[in-house]
Amino acid sequence: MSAVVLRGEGVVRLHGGLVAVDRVDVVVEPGAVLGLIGPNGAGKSTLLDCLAGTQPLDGGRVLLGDRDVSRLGADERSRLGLVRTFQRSAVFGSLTVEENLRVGAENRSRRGLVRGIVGAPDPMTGDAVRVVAEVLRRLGLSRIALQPTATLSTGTLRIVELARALCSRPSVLLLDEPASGLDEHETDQLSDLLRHLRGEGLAIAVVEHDLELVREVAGSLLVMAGGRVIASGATADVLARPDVRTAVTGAPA
Amino acid sequence: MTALDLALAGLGIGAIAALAGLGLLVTYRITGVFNLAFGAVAALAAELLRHAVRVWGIPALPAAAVIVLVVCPVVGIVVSALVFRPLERRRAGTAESLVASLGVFVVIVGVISVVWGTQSWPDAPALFSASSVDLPFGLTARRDSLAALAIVAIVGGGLALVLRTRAGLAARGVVEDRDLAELTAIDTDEVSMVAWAGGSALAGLAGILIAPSLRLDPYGLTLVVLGTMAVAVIARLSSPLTAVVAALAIGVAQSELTQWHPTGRAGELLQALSSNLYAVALLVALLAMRHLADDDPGQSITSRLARRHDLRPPKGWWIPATVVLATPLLLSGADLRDAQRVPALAVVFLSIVVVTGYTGQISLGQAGFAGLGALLAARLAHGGIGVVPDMPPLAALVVATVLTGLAGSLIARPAIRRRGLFLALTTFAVGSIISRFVFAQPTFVAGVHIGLPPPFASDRGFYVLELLVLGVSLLVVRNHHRRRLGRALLAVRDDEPGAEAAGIDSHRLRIWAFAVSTALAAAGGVLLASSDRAFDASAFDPVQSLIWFAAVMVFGIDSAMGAVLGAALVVTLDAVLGAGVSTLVIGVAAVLLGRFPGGLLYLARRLTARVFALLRATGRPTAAPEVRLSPAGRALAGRIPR
Repeated sequence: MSAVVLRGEGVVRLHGGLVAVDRVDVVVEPGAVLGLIGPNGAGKSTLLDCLAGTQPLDGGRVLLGDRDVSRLGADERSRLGLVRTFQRSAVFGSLTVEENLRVGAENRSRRGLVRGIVGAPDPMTGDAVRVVAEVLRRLGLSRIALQPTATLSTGTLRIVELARALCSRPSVLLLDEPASGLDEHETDQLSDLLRHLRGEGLAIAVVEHDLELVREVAGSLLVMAGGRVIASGATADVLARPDVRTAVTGAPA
Repeated sequence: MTALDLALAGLGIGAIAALAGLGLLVTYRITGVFNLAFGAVAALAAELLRHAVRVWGIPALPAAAVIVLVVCPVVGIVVSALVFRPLERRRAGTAESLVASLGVFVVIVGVISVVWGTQSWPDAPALFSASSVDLPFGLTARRDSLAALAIVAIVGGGLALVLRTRAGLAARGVVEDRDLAELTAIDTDEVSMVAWAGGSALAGLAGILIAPSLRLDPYGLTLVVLGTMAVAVIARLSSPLTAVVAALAIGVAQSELTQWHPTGRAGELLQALSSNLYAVALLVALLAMRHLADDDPGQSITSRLARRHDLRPPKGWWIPATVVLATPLLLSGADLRDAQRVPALAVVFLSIVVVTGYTGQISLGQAGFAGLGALLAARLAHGGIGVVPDMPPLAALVVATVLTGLAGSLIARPAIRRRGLFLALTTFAVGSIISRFVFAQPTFVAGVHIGLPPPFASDRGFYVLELLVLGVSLLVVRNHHRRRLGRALLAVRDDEPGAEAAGIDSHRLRIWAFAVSTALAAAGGVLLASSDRAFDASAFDPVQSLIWFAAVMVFGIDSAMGAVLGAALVVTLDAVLGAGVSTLVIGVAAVLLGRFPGGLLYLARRLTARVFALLRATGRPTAAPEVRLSPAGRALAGRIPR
C-alpha cells in the first residue's frame, strides 16, 4: 500500500441543465481523512462518483498520484487502488459475506478471469483467501462469513461493503455515508477503524452527515452547497464558522 | 403506380401500424406494462374473424365489430385482472411485468396453435375491398388503405378528445404519478382496466386489418405486429403523436421501396427490407437512439427470483440425470427421434441460463442464433460458402459454434448499452432481422443439406454425440457459476456499479456472457436441425425465442438442472399430447410465475424441504417440546430471520 494522493482539479458534472458539481478542487492526502459535508443535494455524492469514475466528468480532471485517470472507467480506477463505497450499500445479494469480500480481493487484475471458463485454477486465489480472512477478522465479520448477504441488516451491509472495499487493498478510499444505518456501538467501531486506516497511510475521503464522527476522524473538511465548495480547511476551524453551521445544519448558529 | 400512389398505399399500412403502436403505447403509459402480448392478441382476433366468416359463415363486418369491441376488450380486462393487477399492486418492475406479458403472449399463441393448428391460412377475410378508387388530381388509392387511414384518424382524434375530458384527466393523472392519483381519489384500477380494454381492442383491430395482406399463422402475423414496437420505441414510449407520425412514415417508406425491382440478390434484399421495414426500424432505433431511459436494470428480473444458495442442486444430482438422459438409447425409431430433441433443446435452454440467469441480461433472440449456427454448420459441411472447402460435419459443428459466438460478441458490444426492457427488445429485434434476412432468403437456405455427422451417423450414435455436447455445455455453464468467474458474473448481475467499484470490468463480462450464450445457442441449433434432418426456418422463428425464454424462466432462470429437466418436459409434452401443448403449459406457468418466483424447480425444492421438515417433526419423540408454537411460529420454525 503505497502512499498516493488523489487530486480532483476543476471537477464539473452536469445533470441536464443543472450544474451538480461546479469546478471543485479537492485533494485527498495519504495518512489523512478528508470530510465532505453539506446539505442534501450539495453535490457531495456526485463529486465522489466523479472521482471514482462511476459518473463521467464534464470538465476538469482527476489525478491518482501522477497519473491522469479522468478517462478511465470505475473498474480500472478500482484496480489502480482508488476504491469506493456507495450510499445505498452496493452489496451482492446472492453471494455470502465471504464471497462478497472475495470479489473485492480477487479482481485486482483482469487477467485470468475468462480462463475460468475451462475451470482452470486462478493463481490469485491463495492471496485473496488470506486477505479476506484477515479483513473478516479485523471487522468482526467472521461469525457471519458464510451467511447470504440478503439476510443481513442495513447496518451490517454497510460494514460488509466497507470490508469488500478493504479487500481490494486500496490506497485511496472514498466512503459515501458509511455511518448511516449503524448503531452507536458500530459507529464507534467505524471511527476506530478509520483512524487506524489513516494511520496505515491510506488517503480517505468521507461523505458523512454525522458531524460527531466527522469531527473524530477528519483532519480537514470540504463544505459543499449547490455544487460549489463554500468552505475548506482544518476541521475545527471550518466547523467554528457560523456560515458553515447554517449551511450544514440548516439552523442559525 | 406513381410515387404518390405508393405513398397513399403506404399510409394505409402505416395507419394499421399506428393503431397497434398506439395500443401498446397507451397501455404502457397508463399501466407501466410493456405488453408483448399485444402481438398475440392481434393474431387471435384475426384467427377468430377467419373462423367466424369462413367456418360459421357470419358476415365479416358484424363479426369484426363483435371481436374488436367485445372479445378483445374482455381478453384485455381478464388478463389485467388475473395477471397484471397483482403485479401493479406490489409495484413490480418493468422486467417482471415483461415476463408476465410474455407468459400471456405464450398462452395465446399456445391457444391458437392448439385450436387452429400451426399451419397457415391464406384466406383471411378482408373488411374492406382492395379495389381502387380515383381521387382528385389523378391519384388512385385502395379502399382498404383509405379505410385504415380513416380509422386511425378517428381513433387518434377520439383519444385526443377523451384525454381532455374528466376521465381523460384522471388517466393522465395516473400516467404522471400513480400513488398521487390514488391519493386524489382517482380509481387507478378502473383507469388501468380501461387502458387494457382499449389497448387490446386496438391490437385486435390492427390484426384484423393487416391479416388479408398476409398468410394467417400463429407466428407470422404476431411477428409483423410485434414489428410495430419500433413505433413505440421511436416515440420513446411517451408521445402518441410521434408514434403515429413514425408509423405512417415507415409505412410510406416501405411502400416506396417496392417501386424498384433490381434483379438477383439486390432484389431479394430490397424485398426483405421493404416487407420488414418495421423490424429494421426497431433495431436501428434501439441501437442508434441516444438516451433511451435505461432506468430499469435487468437484474430486477433475477435478483428477486434467484437465491443461489437455495437453488444449488443436491450433491450427485448428475448421476440419476445421466441415467435418465441415457435411457433413450434403449429406444428406436420415432421415439428415439423425438428423444433427440431433448439434449438439443437443453443446450439452447442453457444458453439462456448463462446470459439471463447468471448476468441478468434478458435475451429474446436465442432462436436467431440457434438457427444461424445450424445454417452455418450445414453450409460449412456441405458446400456453398464460396471458396471455403467442405469440412467434416463434426468440425463444422465446432466452427459454426465459435463463429456464431464471435458474431454474438460483436452484436453485444452496441447492444449492452441498453438495459432491461430495451436490451430485451434489442435482442428480439436482432433475432427477427436474422430470421427475415437470412432464414427467409433462398440465397442462404436453398438446397441446404443436413445429415447426421459421422462417426455418429446412426440414430443412436447421434444421440450419444448430443449427450457429449450437452455434457460439455453443462461443464462450461457450471464454470460460469462458480469460483472467481461465477462470483464476478453474479456481482455484475446483483449490482453493476458495485461490481465495477470492486474492480470488475463489467462491460467485458457482459459481452463475454453474450458470446458464450450465442455460441451455446448455435451448438444447440445445430443439434436441433440435425435431429429434424432439415433446416426448418419456422423452428427458429423469433416467436420461438420468446417461448424458449418463457420456458427457461418457468423452470428456473439460473438453474442448469432446470434447463435440462425443462427441455425433457417440453419434448415429452409435445410428443405425447400433441404439438403446441407444451407452449400452452409454459404460458400458463409463466403467467403464474409471480406467485412462485424462482421457477418450478425452486418451488419443488421448497415443497420437498417442507415435506422433509414435516417428516422430521412427526418422527420426533413427542415429550420433548415444552414450547408450543403458533401456526406462524411453525411456519418460521428453524428459520428465524436475522
